[in-house]
Amino acid sequence: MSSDKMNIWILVNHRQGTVEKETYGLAAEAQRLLTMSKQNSEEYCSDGKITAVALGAGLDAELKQLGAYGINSVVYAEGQELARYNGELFAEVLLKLYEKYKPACILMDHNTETSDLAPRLASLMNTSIVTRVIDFTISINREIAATRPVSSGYLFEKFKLERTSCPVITLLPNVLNETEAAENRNIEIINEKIDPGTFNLKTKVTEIMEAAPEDLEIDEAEIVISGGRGVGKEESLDIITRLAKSLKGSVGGTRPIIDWQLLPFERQIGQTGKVISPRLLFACGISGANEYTTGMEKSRLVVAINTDPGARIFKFADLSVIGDVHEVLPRVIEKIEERGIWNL
Amino acid sequence: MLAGIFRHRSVWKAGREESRSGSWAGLIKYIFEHGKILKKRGRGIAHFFVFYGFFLPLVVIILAQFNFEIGIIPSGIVSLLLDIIGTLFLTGIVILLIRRIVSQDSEGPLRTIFPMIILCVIIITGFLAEGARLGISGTETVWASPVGWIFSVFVPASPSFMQIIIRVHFYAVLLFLALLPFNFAKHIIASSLNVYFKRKNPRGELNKAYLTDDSAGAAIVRDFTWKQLLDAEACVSCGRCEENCPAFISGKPLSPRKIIRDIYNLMYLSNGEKISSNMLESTISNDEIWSCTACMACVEHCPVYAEPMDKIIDMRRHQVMCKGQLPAEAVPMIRNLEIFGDVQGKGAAHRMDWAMSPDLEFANAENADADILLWPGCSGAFHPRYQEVLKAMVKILNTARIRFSTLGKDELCCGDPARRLGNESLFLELAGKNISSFRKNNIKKILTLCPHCFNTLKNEYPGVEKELFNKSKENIEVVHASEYIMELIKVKRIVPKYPLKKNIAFQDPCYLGRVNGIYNEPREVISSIPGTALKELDHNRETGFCCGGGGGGMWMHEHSGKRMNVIRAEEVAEADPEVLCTACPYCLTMLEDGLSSLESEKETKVLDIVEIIAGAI
Ligand SMILES: Cc1cc2nc3c(=O)[nH]c(=O)nc-3n(C[C@H](O)[C@H](O)[C@H](O)COP(=O)(O)OP(=O)(O)OC[C@H]3O[C@@H](n4cnc5c(N)ncnc54)[C@H](O)[C@@H]3O)c2cc1C
Ligand code: SF4
Ligand code: SF4
Repeated sequence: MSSDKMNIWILVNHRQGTVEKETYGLAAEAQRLLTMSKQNSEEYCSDGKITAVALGAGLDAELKQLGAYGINSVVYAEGQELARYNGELFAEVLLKLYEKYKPACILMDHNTETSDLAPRLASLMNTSIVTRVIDFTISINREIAATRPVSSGYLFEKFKLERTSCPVITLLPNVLNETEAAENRNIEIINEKIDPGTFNLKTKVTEIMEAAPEDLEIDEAEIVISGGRGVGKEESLDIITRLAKSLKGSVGGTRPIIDWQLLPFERQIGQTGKVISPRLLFACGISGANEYTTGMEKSRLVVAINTDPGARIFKFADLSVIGDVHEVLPRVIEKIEERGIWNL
Repeated sequence: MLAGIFRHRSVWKAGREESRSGSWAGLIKYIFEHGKILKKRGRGIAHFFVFYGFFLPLVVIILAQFNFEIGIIPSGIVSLLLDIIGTLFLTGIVILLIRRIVSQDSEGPLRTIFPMIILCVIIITGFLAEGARLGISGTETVWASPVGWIFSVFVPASPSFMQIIIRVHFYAVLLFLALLPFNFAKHIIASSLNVYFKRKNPRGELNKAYLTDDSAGAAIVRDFTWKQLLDAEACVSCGRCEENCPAFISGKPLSPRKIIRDIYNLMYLSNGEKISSNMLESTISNDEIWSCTACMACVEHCPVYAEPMDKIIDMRRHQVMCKGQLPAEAVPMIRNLEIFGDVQGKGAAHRMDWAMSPDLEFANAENADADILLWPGCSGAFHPRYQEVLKAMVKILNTARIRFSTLGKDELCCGDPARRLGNESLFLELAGKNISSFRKNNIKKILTLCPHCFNTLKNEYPGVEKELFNKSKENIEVVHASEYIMELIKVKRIVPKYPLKKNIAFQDPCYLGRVNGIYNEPREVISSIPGTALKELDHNRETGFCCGGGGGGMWMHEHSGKRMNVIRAEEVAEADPEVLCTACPYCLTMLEDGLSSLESEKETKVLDIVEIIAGAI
């Protein structure tokens, strides 16, 4: 493929067989780049294109949907070996694809996997890499620049890239705006057969161990079940752990729970513990002292269960349940186990 | 001896410059009154005897060189007095000696024991000589020298023996003086110097931070000022700071005595000259410096006016401003201050939310002709519990028909948590903006509820104003609610009528009591309510026990030992008052939490003094 056409690659982020919304954000970002460079150098970019690259297995149906987001074609490397992330293998595969298609740049959303993958790939490609980018500009014959926050967001640094052959860029998820799907267009899906045996891999995956969701750090988990003094001591807290298991959430607590040594300090939510913002938070038997709410105010959806209708926690709750945790929760858990989480 | 003294001087003089003036009157009063030392009864009295037992005979001996007649009886009385003093001296020195031998002094007792033994030799030979003299010259004035007489019974009445003993006595004195700079006895000089140079600024005003282009705070020993190093030289390792330190008592890895002694050892290790490595950091760990609640108990109780706390803050400054090291739990609060200007991260838009109620109407400072500016502080403005206290204050002001205003949305955190957590630049930024608001609105008098705001506005802002605006306007008067309420009661603007509860105990907030000396006003306020009895807790006034919230403690997890608020809560539960009264938002939150964590049947109610009065009028 000739390199005088601007071909922007975006890496498809997918989980459990579905494409994650960050991918659409990347598509929008690529679109923006194309439009911008079109204004700057019309000839070159008039037929620039966006290609999504996917590594995985069983994604065909999902990938077809990408046409609705302005993506022109998909390069799909399929294989059971690619079903799970493996840094070394993924980097080799992407290198091979890069050598074949020579895109103008590769965009990824910044996450735990890409922070491992991007540097590996860039070093194999012998090109520039900027991670955690919030603003990126590219134009042929012109400069390529990237901006990213430093010092916990107080300052920004802007880079001009010297090696302009296909830089690898990871963009911070919060600058990737979700885009509305347009009408789906038919897009070309190029299947690339990959034989991992051809790579001289130095690492081999021998076993994969799932972390129990309740072991997830509370500030990383999307669902957190937290318990307070009202839940009670000793085994009483088991009800919280059971709910966490059935919702695949992590477990946290107020200071009394930590003082009773039912949970380690890393699981304390609040002013002298951790500040969390999960998508779903259960606050069970918690009065809602300011020192606790400081740590959870930014949670998206809050379910509070308390016997006291006047409890302050209800001011923060989207769903307030007045009742005894030990009566309410067993029934909730039963229902979840019966019908699955999202069909309650 | 002089060479020794100068060598020591060169060591602490290697510290940074700091301008200090001395006070002879203060020193003389300190020495002869011995008040600060006597604060600790037993040892204090022993020290008192040793001091006077050394000093008075010295005076007599010097005077005796002038050969004047004072007659038999007066000279007998002097002699009797000397005997008594000598005995007390001996008792004192033996008590101190035993204390040092059994004490847990980390450096071992040798350093201190040697000079004490010389002192014992001096006094015993003195008595022996007297005994010999009495044996030789007859015992007609026995009443004047009872101890000498006892010695005369078994001491040979030989002139040559007397000569030898007098020589030993004399050489022991010389030896004591000659060795003075090299052992513990040097505190006679170093501690006196430290008292001479003691601080004249308000106690609550922290030293300005040491800031250069590439460093901040104390990274190495020489980053301390000479006065800070003199503190270390003056320290007698008596351990009073440690005995009163809430961090130490509650089992945290911090001892203010160790801090001072470590600095002392390091400054001699480096001889004031060569040290450049970060020995300071490897000797004093981060766990130590972050355990301090800035309660100033160590400063209050040090008999030689050494101030362990400001060293801790200087080391924090280095960790925070040069290394970005801050306990993880405190980071969100500091970010909130940086971005929103308040500890809760709510922002200016929400600062007046507490006042969104039709019965809370008052002016903004900009267009008010008010008597006083009410300063809600972050706690009053944002903490749900303290908002109640703030509203109670408004009720009192309205009842007293005081015209007051607030800065409204222009108010920012006073900066105390930032400053005491070592973030001096953030403190200066917040303070600067607040001071500009005061100047713009021509504020003359400010009323605060929180003792930390009170201390910062009253004691620290004048210095910042001088620095930033090059001249300080006429100083703004800052009053704490407890003082102000007492004033209102005195002039009968408000009259507490309705008894609330009989037994009220008072928790002295560190920054009201120890730091600003306000002990009586809150007690008077409580007692002014009819039918109320004030119940003192075991630890009160100067020995009041910190709730654990100061110095950024509200935002740090206590990783080891027992929680300070629980220790205090246990003491309160023991005293069993009906109400625990306090006058500080940190104390209020900490003690409510501490008492509820005791999970006892009967829960003591915790109220702010403002609420108590608002309920009584
Ligand atoms: C400086 C400082 C820092 C602090 N930092 C933190 C912190 O980081 N994190 C933190 O969590 N706390 C912190 N605290 C403590 C905080 O102030 C509260 O004391 C604590 O959050 C209260 O915990 P709780 O809600 O579990 O207990 P409580 O306040 O005792 O509340 C228990 C609640 O459970 C309800 N209840 C009782 N039985 C039942 C039942 N069977 N079913 C349902 N509901 C029931 C009660 O109605 C009550 O509302 C801090 C305190 C201080 C002073
Ligand atoms: S200020 Fe208080 S907590 Fe800090 S060292 Fe001194 S006594 Fe201990
Ligand atoms: S600093 Fe003061 S109180 Fe502490 S050990 Fe030294 S002399 Fe005693």
